[in-house]
Amino acid sequence: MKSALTALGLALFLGAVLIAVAQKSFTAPWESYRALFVGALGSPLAIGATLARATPLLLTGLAVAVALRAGLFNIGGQGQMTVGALAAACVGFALPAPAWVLLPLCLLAGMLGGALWAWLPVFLKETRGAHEVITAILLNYGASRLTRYLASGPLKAPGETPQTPEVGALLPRLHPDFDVHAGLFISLLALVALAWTLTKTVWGYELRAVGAGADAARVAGIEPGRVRRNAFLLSGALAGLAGAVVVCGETPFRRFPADFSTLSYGFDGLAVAMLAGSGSLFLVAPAALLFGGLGAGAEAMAFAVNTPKQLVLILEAILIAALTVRISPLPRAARGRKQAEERGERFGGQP
Amino acid sequence: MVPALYNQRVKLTPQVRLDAISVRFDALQALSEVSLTLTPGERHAIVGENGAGKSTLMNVLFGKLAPTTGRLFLDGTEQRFASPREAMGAGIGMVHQHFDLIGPFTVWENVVLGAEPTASGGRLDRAQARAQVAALAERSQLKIDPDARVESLSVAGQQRTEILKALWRDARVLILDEPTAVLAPSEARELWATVERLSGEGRSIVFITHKLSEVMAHADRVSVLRRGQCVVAGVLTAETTPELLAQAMVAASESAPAPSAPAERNRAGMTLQLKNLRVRGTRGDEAVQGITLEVLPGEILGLAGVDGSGQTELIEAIAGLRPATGGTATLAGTDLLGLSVAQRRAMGVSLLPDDRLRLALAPAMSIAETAVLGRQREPGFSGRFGLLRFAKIQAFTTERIAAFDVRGAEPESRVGALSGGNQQKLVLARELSRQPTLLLASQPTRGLDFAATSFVHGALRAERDRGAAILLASLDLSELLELCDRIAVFLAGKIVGVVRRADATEERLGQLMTGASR
Repeated sequence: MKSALTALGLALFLGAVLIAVAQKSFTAPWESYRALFVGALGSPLAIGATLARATPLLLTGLAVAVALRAGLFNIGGQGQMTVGALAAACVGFALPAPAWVLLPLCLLAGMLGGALWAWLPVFLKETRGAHEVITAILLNYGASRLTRYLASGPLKAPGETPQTPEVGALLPRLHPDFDVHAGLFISLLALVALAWTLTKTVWGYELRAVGAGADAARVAGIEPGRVRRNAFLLSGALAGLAGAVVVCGETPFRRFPADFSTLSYGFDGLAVAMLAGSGSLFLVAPAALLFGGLGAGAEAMAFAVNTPKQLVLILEAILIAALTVRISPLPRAARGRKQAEERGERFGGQP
Repeated sequence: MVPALYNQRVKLTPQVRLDAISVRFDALQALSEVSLTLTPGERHAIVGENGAGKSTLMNVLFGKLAPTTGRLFLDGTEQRFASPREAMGAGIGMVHQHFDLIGPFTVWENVVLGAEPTASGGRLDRAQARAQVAALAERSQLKIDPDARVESLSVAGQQRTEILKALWRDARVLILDEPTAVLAPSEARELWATVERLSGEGRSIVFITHKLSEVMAHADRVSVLRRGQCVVAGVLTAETTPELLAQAMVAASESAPAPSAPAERNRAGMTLQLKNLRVRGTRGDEAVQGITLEVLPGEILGLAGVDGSGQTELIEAIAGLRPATGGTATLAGTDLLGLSVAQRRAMGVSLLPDDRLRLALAPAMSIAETAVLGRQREPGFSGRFGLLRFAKIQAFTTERIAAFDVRGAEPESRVGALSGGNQQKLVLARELSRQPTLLLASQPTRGLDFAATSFVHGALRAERDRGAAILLASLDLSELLELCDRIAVFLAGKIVGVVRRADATEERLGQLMTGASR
């Protein structure tokens, strides 16, 4: 938690230096950050936009965080989200059912689509020994190209724009004037359910045991391979659910556009999970809010002052870099001691 | 950086003085006002129970840890090491219990790493570096091939590489952290010869050990730590006895658990039968080459042998962690080899692995989580819908901590914060709670002090009396002689003899282990 705040402070500071240099003005950082803040939290409208962006980020962040708890790095969330979104869109426009039946089916289709795309790396690993990080990265491209083709070809709706027909089931907005929609509750429900599952059930216990020490888990009779496979599929299902929530809830979608994969929620989920760290799963929520706010604020900032919204991407990049190298405010000696404790060398005994 | 040339006579060994060193970790006083003096050419043993502060003290000397208070003098000049690198610069070297080597690199590459001889333009002169390392190994009489890849070496070979590394950096004060814990007797003898040579050259050697026989045989002076305090400070070994040292190590209040009274042995349990069992090793060679053995209920069968003779692979194969490539293994007539690890555990097979920190525990898990690892699906610990029963787990953990005297353990604290001995007690507390019918113990007292060791021994005897069949692999022959009913001796993947305890002596076993007799 402390390291996350330090990293955020460092990112804001370096970002300020960048803006000052780019705009050749010492006041520009202040103005830009003010616009960023106002755009993220300054008005009910802004808060609505932040919450709307945080909704899928919470799900993709959870997807990565759950896999991390099992000791896996699911870098394929982007592709899994994209496939899940298309699956949800297909069910949504193809099935002639009333909305209250159709909506759960859409969400389920999204989860299945995401899980399917996550199953491919698992399958390749089990049959061919291919490393899941490599195959998942490649499958991100695969998802992007495949869905683009499908949405501009076989599944294309009549008209100029390459996109699927409109879905018949929507996640309603919470208020007609604001972007935030009912998907937020789905995200929060997923958060609570997962946090509960991980800490209170045998299934979650075994998942964490495999993440903490796969060899010890194996000796204890747990099969790390099976646990990892399930965790990875769950991770993919969460990313796919994020895609379904975006299609059914986020304005202006209600359909799957051919360029859907340019939405970076899947990749941003990696950042969200890293910021949240390995402690309580509930920390994914503030991390998703932060990234949601940065995204919403960036649009407003680019509009209000002359600072390009790409600046926020730089801020996010610095944030991740700072988190990865573990910037610590502790002095060196104290840090060494802390690490020694973490390694279990608290006393003179053997770790 | 060009290392100073190795001299046959080391003249510059500094007098080391640690003055009233205290180390505090938050609420815990790991060391309080410990003082220690090392004169050039002396061999100084540091003994004490697990958690007494031995490694902490050595880490202070090696610059790994800054003392909370206290000072360090070399030849009367105060030093403050900010890092091991600075300590090495001042002539202090350390060989850790867990080696800091890069497996795929050769011996000479590992030795020069970080202190490479450079040619013009910062280039690494490989030929010269290799030649210099070879020359150094030759002069210091360390039997080692400079071109061997470190991962292909035995543990003893890796240790020699570490010593060579310290000498390359011209270490005049050499710290050895439990150097013989991982060595076979013959390898240990070779190490002590090296130690004697090095001290004869004027170097000071400090070594940590749990074996008082080593202290008496190989140290000039000895210091005893107990709970962070120095209770015996640099006494000449000639002027003390193992009994006095042992007394000093254990606080008056805590006596080692009394040896279990000879009890009626239960012989009604299950028999383990191995027939011509074959197991492949990690490197693809056949580590176990056709072994036929029987372990009866109420019996401890020992496995003796030089490290790497196949004992570990055999035990892992019976536990289900490594596939057998041939033969059979049955427990009470049931074929084990076709079963999963979980199914074998359900039959009552229990493992105390040698690498506890990797195979029996996960340092990041809590003690309560660890106490039920492997039993989490039992009705006592989880209920309907796979819900964990926290109250039951908590109560069970508290009971186990008390029953096995796991010190410093709270159900919620992390396993990694326990000392090695208490980690092993926790593993024992968990595995024995299942009342195993077959207990596989692989070096169960490795790295433990004698209080913890006798605790483990007592627990094994109690399990034997209860009727468990116990297979015990150990590199410590005195341990096998103390506990076992029969001892099977391994040599290169085969059993070269099964000796009854009555007929067994260290000499006889040593001859069998090394192939000196059949």
